[in-house]
Amino acid sequence: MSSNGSPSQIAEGTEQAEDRQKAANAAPQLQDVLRHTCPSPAGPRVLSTFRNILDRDSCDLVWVTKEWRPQQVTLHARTRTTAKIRQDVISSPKMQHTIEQLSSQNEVPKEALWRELNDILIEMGHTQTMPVVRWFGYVLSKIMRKIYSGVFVNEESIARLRASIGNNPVIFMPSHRSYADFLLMSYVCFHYNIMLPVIAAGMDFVSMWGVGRLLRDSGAFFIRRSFGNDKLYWAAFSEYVQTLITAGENPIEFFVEGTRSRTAKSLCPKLGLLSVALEPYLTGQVSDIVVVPINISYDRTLEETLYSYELLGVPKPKESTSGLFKALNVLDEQYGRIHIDFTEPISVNKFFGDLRSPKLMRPLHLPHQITPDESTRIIWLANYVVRQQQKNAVISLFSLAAVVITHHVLTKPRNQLLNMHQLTRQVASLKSAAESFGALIDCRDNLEVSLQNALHIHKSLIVTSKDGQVQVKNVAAAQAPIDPAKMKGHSLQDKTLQVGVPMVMLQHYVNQTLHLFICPAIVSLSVQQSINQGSGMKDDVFARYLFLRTLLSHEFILHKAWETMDFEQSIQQLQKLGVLDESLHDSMKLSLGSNSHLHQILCQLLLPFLAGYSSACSTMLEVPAGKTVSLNEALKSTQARLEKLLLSAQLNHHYSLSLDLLTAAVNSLSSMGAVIKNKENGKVLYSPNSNRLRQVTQIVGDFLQLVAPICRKSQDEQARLFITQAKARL
Amino acid sequence: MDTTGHGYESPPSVMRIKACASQEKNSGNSIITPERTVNTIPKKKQTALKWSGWGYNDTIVVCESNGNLYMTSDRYPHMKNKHVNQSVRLWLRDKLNMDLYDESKMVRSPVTPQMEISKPIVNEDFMKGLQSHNISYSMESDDRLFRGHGHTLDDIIHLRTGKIERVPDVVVWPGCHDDVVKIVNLATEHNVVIIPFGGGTNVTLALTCDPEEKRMIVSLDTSQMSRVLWVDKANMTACCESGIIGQDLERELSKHGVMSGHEPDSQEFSSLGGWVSTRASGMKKNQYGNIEDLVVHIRFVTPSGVMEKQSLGPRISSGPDFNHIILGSEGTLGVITEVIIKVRPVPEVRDFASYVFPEFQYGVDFMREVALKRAQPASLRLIDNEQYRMGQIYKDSLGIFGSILDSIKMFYLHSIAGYAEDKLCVVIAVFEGDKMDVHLQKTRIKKMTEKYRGLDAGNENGKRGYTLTFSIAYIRDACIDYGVLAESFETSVPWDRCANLCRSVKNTISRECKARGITHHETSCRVTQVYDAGACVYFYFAFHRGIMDFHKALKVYDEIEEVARDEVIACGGNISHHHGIGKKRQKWLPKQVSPLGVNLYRAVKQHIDPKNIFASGNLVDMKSSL
Repeated sequence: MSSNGSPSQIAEGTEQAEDRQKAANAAPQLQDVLRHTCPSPAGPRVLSTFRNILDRDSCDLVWVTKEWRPQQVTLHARTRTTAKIRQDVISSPKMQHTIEQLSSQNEVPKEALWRELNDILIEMGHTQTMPVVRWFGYVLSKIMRKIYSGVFVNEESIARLRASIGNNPVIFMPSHRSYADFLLMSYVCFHYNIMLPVIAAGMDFVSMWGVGRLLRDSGAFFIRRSFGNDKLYWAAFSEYVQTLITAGENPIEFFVEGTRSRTAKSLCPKLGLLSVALEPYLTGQVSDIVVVPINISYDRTLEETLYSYELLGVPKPKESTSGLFKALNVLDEQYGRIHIDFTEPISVNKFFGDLRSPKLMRPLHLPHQITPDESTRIIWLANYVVRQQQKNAVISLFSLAAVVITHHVLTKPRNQLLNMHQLTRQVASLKSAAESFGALIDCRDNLEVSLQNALHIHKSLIVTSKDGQVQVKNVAAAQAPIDPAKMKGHSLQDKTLQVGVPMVMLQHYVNQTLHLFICPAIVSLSVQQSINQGSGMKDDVFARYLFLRTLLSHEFILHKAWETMDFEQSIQQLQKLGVLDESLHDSMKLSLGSNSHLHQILCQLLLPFLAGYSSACSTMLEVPAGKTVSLNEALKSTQARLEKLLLSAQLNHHYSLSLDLLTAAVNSLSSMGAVIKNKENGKVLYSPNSNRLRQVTQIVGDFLQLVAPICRKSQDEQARLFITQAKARL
Repeated sequence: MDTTGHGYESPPSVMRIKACASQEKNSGNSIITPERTVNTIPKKKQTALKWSGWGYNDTIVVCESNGNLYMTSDRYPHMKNKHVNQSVRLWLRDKLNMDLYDESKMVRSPVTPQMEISKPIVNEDFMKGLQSHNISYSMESDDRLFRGHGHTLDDIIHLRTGKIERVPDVVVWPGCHDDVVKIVNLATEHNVVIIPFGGGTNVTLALTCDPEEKRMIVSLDTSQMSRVLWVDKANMTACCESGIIGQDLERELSKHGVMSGHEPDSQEFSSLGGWVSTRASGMKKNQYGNIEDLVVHIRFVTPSGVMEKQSLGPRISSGPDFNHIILGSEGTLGVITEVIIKVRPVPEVRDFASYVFPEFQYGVDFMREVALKRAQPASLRLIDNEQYRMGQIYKDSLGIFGSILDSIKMFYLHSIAGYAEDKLCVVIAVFEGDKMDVHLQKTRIKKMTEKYRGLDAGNENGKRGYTLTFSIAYIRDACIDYGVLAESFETSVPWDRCANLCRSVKNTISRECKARGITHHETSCRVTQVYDAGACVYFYFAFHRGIMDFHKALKVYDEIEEVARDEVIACGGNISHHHGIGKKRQKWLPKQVSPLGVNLYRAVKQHIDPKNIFASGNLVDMKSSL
């Protein structure tokens, strides 16, 4: 361990530490609330409660033309036309107040502002119409039958949902991995006769000819991606959302992650829309809001290739209708199953405790400002929602296979190809580990058959030769040459992309499992390092664990309030699995157990992250004192540095190149105080905080070394050749 | 313009939520920070207002030797081109030995105080605290003097004769509720006296400092807390800081198309907090309510913490209404910082009317009938004969044609209709509402006047009578120059005792004057408010001091007023309708509210303010028991 400071010292004394303290203060109370309000489901989740809704008695035509008598969200709701909703927004006291203020502040005539507001609302508004929904549902049925082998919905969760709606506004918060999420949610609601959600969508689609209209008619409303200081827009948007909440005609649906996660990991929740949506509760306009986190798990993500390119910095094509048609070739492929689970509905009133009363002294037309207490709870709720989404995932066997395959590619010499037998064995052991971490694995038949089916779905990425050898396929070749000027990051060499794209695609599926493994992995690595340093004491381990957790808090959902709970749980699980030794009597001292293979796999999972973060540190360290860099510059030079490492075989995991990962790294360094964030003329610039950054770099480096030897052992000159030469058969 | 402080949230982000949190921390509970109101009266009030009398420095009533009467500024447009005719002049000379044509009596007050103000008592720790909180204050003599008095006759005479024994030692100007909390906490910690100061228009000696007080006295001037924090049109309420004065309040509210409708005579200078703490009444209370009807919510800072109800609902049944401990507390329990009041839309139409009745009794009977039918317009007042005649000094100067017309009118009134000039009385009415409403109200009132021999005297007379109210206090100051001491006092009384009370009090005063050898005096009264169960009666008593010096005259005045008050109470009236108790009427309080009532107040005081920080000495003299 470096003498510059222990991980715990680094973790403390930062902005984050203060926040954690705050969260810790709030924690006991909230823990209490959580225990009472969100009991864990009665039994373990099982696949048998999931039903394939494509597999139904009636034909699609009968299905889409069925009588539409949905279960109402709230009994008091009255159905409003689009024009009426717009009228309600415009005439709301809050909107009137805003217009008056803006008019007098900016000396703009009110009429101009009314007109502008009207335009904003027309641009924003949804126009849900059942004929379109039905027609669209018919087409979707046909498409889904073609590309999916089933859309499985947890019917127990549907029953639970039905029981908890009827009195209060409902917010659906699905995980967001694919554009298909939009359509699926409405499709499922239609199937189960639940009022169709109104969906908050980004403006990206509006420009797509026909598609914007189609989505609007299906119930999407559109929010600009950024509207800076446009107060009128902000007021219009929040009033629009709030009128939907208070009227309670439809469930509101939005993605708390803010955007599609390109990495298949959950993104850190965004709080803006959630805060706006909760305002009617906080100000006492509704007595409760029911939040329903929803997990949508895909066997294979439609956008998998696209995402890989995007993460490496190859620009994403702008959404266009012609692009959509081009993308229709995805219809020729198989994408396996989808699993949808509506998790335990959360009563915001019970979750928050009643916070309404202090606000009752303010008139409703004044904008509400979130108090620190509310802010703490909203952050908590947002994180809880994402965790619920994760906990209720259905993990595909392919994800586990991806972990095994990646581990193999990284650690074994070229001539040792993975065969089906080994793969099955290793997946089996990983499966039982995952299950002990609470995962529900999609394995309906015996493991071997299920695994083969799972691999078959991904045959464009993984090929199994006749002799049972499993290999990664190069998928990168078919793309058109990339204009270097358009690269978002560093202009990567062609050969880097050749290996990088499939590796990042593979990591996409590895990532699907990481919410299960991340805490145990961090604990494992911390234990190992602590033991190597001659300690192994629990509090020493905890300090190291805290550092890694803080470091990775922009990468994974590691809410501060849960750090102790997660730590204790991970230790228990790891002891059961034999990764940690259970037999020792001294409960304050930890040591490694017999299951070194799982320990290796777990630690290895952190490699791309630690490698990426370490490089980001080095890059920032090179910024001369007093100079600043933009995020983009930082990303570019870190990617360049990583590419060098990859080419010189000092690193062999291409996922470190991921721009998402590196962005998280910079943000994390910033919130740890190792990098200072400055705003100049609206541009965000970063400069190193040299002392702290050096400490962090040192500690990250120490951790990385522990992970790196596993691959370095098998790393010789050949290894580099293995990846680059084998591009055709990788 | 500051874009973050105006209640908007910028687009969603974690950072923004954090930013909000710190912002709120800084500004306490006052989350919204609307712009500061532009106060009509500056912070240094004496730069705009008279130091020794009522109203603006630039505004004095002048009567020239030819009988022309006017005010020296344009602030009161209705006070232009008045003419005191011979008959009024003679009547006044006869009654009050006051010759308005005698210009030599006209004295214009000196602009700067000619008085030695004692050195302030300074509590160093308190002052250090004040400085550390960055709260504005002043120890200058004129600032202190200005806040050491109200507008009681005693105050004015003392100012004019340079006999003010004790004034506050420092004037502080909190800018918001939180500042007040800090000041009150500091004062409690360091045992310093606080006397809240609003507009300084009381007539009850409420601001007079106790000469025996050895602690530092802080005058807490709320004038810089004058924002309208919000206007809620959905519920027709407005949240205002307590220091806003009446005219500023109406101006700010009118920007939102609403008004409070609270119009006490002192409306130009008195403050919202002052109204609440004295249980004020406005001229248009029939339509808009008295202050206790207007108040929805009060924020009250006391030495033992902040008291406020947690509800904006229109009514609560939750035991005694503790707002009523604040209403009328006269600065003895704490500081009112923010008040949520009801507001009404600015009326479409405002109209006036006046009616002449042959005798006072007819007028009272008419008023009673109006109250019975609950047909009262926004304002309705009955002016007795003496006041009607005194009001004749306000007659417009008329051209020859006007004079002739006037004479014809008078001839008709006196000779044909048979209304004796020394008996008739006048009713003045103000109507507000939409056209239809006003029309209906007017028709209804007209109908009722006929029953009591009332004659329509036109809306111009009504308008004049109503708006002249604002100049009465100026006249009072002018009278002093002519050797006439004048003061008002008021009461409320059940209907069946109203006329008798008016008569008896006048008789009593007359008797008392005679006993003291006062040859020139006049008492008039008006019935200014109608209620279901009674009315408010307002007396003016004036006498010429003759050879008495001011202090002797003041003593005599006080003696007579005391006897008059005894008579008021004996006739079924009470201690005060809206002026309050202050230090002037404490004597009658036990009798009025029962000794147990006084003890109850003492217990409240003891609990809220055990150190007697709010030691203005109003209501009950705490020294006698502490």
